Amino acid sequence: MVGSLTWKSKWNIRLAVSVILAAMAGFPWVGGDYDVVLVSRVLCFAILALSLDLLWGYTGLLSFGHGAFFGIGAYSLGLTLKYLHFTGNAYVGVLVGTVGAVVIAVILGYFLFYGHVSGIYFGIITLALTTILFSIVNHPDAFYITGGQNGLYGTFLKPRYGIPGIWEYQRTLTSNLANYYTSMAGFIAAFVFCRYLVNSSFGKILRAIRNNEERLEYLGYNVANLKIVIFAVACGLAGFGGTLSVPIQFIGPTVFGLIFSTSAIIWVAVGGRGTLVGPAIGALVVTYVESWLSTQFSSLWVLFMGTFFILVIIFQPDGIMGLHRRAVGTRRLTAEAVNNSLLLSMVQDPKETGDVDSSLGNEKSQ
Amino acid sequence: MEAALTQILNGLSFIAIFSLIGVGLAILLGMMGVINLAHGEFVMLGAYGVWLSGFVFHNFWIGLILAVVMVALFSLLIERTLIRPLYKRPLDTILATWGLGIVLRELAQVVFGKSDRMVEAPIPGFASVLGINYSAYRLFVIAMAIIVLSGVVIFFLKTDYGLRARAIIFNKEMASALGVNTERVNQLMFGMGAGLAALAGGLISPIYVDSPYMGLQWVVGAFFVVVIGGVGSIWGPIGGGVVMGGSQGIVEFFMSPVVAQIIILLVAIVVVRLRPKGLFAQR
Repeated sequence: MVGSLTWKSKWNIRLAVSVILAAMAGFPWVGGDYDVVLVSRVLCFAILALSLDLLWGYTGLLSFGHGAFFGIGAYSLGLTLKYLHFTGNAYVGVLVGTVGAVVIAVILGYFLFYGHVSGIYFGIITLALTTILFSIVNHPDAFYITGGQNGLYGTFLKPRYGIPGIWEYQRTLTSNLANYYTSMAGFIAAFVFCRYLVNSSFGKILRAIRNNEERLEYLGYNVANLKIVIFAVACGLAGFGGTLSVPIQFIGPTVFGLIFSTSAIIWVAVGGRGTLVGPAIGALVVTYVESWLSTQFSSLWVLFMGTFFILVIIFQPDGIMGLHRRAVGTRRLTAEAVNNSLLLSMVQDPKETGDVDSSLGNEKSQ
Repeated sequence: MEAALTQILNGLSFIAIFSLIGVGLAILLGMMGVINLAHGEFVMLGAYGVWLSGFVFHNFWIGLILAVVMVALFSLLIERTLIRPLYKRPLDTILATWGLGIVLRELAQVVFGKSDRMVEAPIPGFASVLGINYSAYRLFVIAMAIIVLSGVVIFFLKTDYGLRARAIIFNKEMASALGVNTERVNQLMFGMGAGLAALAGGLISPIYVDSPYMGLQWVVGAFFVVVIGGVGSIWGPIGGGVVMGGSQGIVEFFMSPVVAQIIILLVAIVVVRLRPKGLFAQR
C-alpha cells in the first residue's frame, strides 16, 4: 500500500511524523512535572503494548501474563542497581533484563509451541507464570532480596555510568528530564524495530501464522520455531520496556499483578490490535483516563476500566485505530483476522477462513 | 500413616473441587469453543451467595441451593448479552469474559467489601475414617462432588440432552444439520457449567477464606485441569481434576504452596508438550 501512496500523502505522513517527534521532544519543556513523569511511564508502557501487539495483534498469540516479562526486566535492572555497584551496572542491568526475558520465553515457548498449545492455553499458562512470579517476589523468604510488598523503589544506589577505569561518573535516577528522554529514545527505538519487523518478510509470516497456521505448515514452515522466535522477541522487548521503567515507577510485586497484565491487554485493545500506532495511543489514552479516574473514584477505576473494556471488545474491536481507519476508508484485516486464526485453532476441523495470499497482499502496517 | 491418609483425603477434596469447576469449563470449551474466563468469578459468587444468605436465612443449605440457582440464572443472562453476540468471534469472547471477570471482582469488592469472609461449616466436628479423625464437612464435600459428578456423567451419557450435547462436541455443523437446536443446548450447558462452579464455590466457602479474588486462583487451577485432561469427553476434566487435585494435595504436604504452584505449572507445561490434546483424550 505504501507503494501506491501519492507523493502528497507521503509528505503528509512525513510531516505528521516530524510533528509527533517534535511534540515528544518538546513536551518536557511545556508539560508540568506530573505530566512529564506520567508520559515517561506511558512511553515504557507503550513498549510493553507494542510487544504484546506483536504477539497478539500480528501473530494471534494472546498472552494474559505479558506483564510478567516487563516485571522480569524491571526486577533485573532494579536488583542489579541494588546489589552490584560496578561501573556500567545500569547497562548490564538493561541487558540482563532483556536477555533474561528472552531466555525464559524461549524455554517456555519450546514446551508450549512444540506442544501445539493453542490460543487460550497459551494465555492461561502465561497468566499462571505471572501469578507464580508474584508469589515468589512476595514470598517472606525473598523479602531481603526483593523487598516484598515494599518493592525496589528507592532502595538502589546511584548507578555508575561510563567506561570502567577510564571514565566513570555517578548520577541519581531522579532527573525527570533524563528519564523522559531515555524512555523516549527507548520507545522510538522499539517502535522503529517493530515497524521494521512487521514490514519485513518475517512480519508477513507472522500475519500468516495468525491467518492460517495450517497452511503455513503445509508450505513447509516450522511454525513452532517461528512462534518461539516471535515470543522471544516480544518478551525481550517487554523486558527492555521494564528496565526503562525502573527509575520512573514503583517497582514492586504489582508488575506481576493481574491488573497490570490486564492493563496491557486493554491498551492494545483500545488502541487497535494489529497496528503499531494503536497500542501506543491506547497506552497513552488509557493511562491518562486511569490516572484521572483513580483521583476521582479511588479504587473504583478498575471497575470502570473493566466495563469500558467489555464495551470496546463488543462494539469497537478494532479500537481507536479502527475508528481512524473507518474515517480514512482503508480496508485492513486486523481483529477479524485474529479471530479467524483462533477459530481455526479451536474448532477441530480446519475451515477455510483467512486467505494467506490475499491478506499478505492487502496488509501493510503503518 | 495417619498423616498420609489425611493427605489422601485432602487430595480427594481438592480433586472434588477441581473437577466440579473444570467440568463446566471443559464443556463450554468443547461445545461452543468459548472460553469463559469469568468462570472463577462464578465460583466466587457461589461462595458469596452462601455467605450472604447466611445472614438472611441462617441456613447453609438454603444458601447453597439459592447460590447455585442464582448464578445459573445469571449466567444465562451473561450468555445472552455477552457470549451470543460474540459467538462468531471466539477470541473476543475470551476478552469479554475476562472483562466480565474484572467487573464481577470489583463489584464484589464494592458490595461485599475487600476483607476476607468466613462461613461456618454446616457439618461441624470430625468423623472417624479408617482410624483417623477427619473433618466431617470435607468428607461431605467429597461425597457431594462424587454424587454430582456422577449425575453429570449420567446426564451426558444416558439422557437425550446429553446425547445432543455430545453430538455438538463431536461435530457442531452436523448436529445442527440433524436438527439439534445448538443454541438451546449451548445455553443449557453454559447454565449448568456456571451452576457447577457456583456449587463448588458454595462448598468451599466454609473451608477457605472467601475474598473477591478467590475465583482467580481456582480458575487458573481449573484451566490446568482442562489442559491436563483435555476437552472432548466428559472424562477429560474429571481425570484432569484427579491429576491436579492429587498432585496439589501431595506437593502441598511436602512443600510450601508457592513451590506447589510452580511444580503444578511445570507439570501442566510438560503434559502439554507430551500430550497436546490432554492426558485423557481419545487417541
